[in-house]
Amino acid sequence: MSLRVLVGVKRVIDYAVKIRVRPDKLGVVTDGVKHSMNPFDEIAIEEAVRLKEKKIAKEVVAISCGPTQAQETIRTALAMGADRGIHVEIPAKEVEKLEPLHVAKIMAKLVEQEKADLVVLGKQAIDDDSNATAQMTAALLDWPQATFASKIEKTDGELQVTREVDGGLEIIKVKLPAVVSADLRLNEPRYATLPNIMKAKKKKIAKMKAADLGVDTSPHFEVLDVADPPVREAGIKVEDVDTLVTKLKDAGRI
Amino acid sequence: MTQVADTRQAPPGMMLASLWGGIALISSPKEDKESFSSSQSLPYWSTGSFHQSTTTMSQKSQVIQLYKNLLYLGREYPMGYEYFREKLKNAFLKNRNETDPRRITEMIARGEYVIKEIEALYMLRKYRTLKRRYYDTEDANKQATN
Repeated sequence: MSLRVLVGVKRVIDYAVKIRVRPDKLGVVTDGVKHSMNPFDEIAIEEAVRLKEKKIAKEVVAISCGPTQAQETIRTALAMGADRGIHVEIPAKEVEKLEPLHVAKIMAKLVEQEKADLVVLGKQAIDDDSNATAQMTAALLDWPQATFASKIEKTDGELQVTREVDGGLEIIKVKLPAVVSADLRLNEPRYATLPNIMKAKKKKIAKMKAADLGVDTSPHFEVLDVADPPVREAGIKVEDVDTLVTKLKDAGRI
Repeated sequence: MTQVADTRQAPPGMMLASLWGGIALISSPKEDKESFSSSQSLPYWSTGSFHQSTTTMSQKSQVIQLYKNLLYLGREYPMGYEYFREKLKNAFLKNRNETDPRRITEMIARGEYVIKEIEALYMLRKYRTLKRRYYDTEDANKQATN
């Protein structure tokens, strides 16, 4: 039972970059800022490629919804081992307003077109931290979902997934086809080295628009304000209880 | 998957210093050429598998490919791409007059080893940052009080 796996990858601001709020306070500065693949999506691609290496999957398709530069992200996915890519082009102005629901609808449509058996997504994007796309995709397809996966094993026609939840680890069985969202400890993604990037240039990336899939990408939300989190003040160590009491009194706390 | 148990961050300087030790090894020629005899056991970095096949590429193109690969890797270097490029260039330039093919093979293998080390550095850095950001609430508090 060889699976066709669709993996969603998102182009986000690089995890190591210091984020700055735009002057208009409606977003963050993205011009000229280093972008890369969402780290959880790297883990998702790595898992799909490992499934292919174990001969559980037969094809890995990397999908990205975003501006023209999203093709670089897809190339990284291809360099890591994906077989081909699909780029759903979103005009640069609309990229910010793209919501998990739009992406989920796009994924659902592509799953039907590509006849996929498994969808693997990163659990959340480090820019919006929605943690919603995998769940919504599963709901739209009426497929079971295994989110926050830290281990995936295949049994006959089913997946046994270990999930990282607040209380610890939960092991569940889901019937295929299914949607899985990758958590941090699922695996350690390989680095896309230059030779692999070069080889990946031969792999195909199909291009299309959201409208081609019949998905309307008009926003449901409006961002009112974006601000820096309050600067957390350092704690102060005190010598003894008396100093503590004095300081608390000074601060007007007691 | 083995979990990274160490929740404290190793001083980045330490990791980087050991990396540059690796690259410095590439650049420092052995004092006594005669000491490199077949009776010596292979250094540990020679036992890894090559990225590039040694049979189809000439040594010169292998070295060039190694340089390109390292340069590509250096784009994400924590201390900056320019710093990395400078060090890389000097390390390679120091050995440009090497002619013994065995020594060159050894140096290429060292270069491959450094690639692996840098990949590991990046992976660890990313893992630890994400772990701190998304999973460790106590560590986040500890950091603010330092």
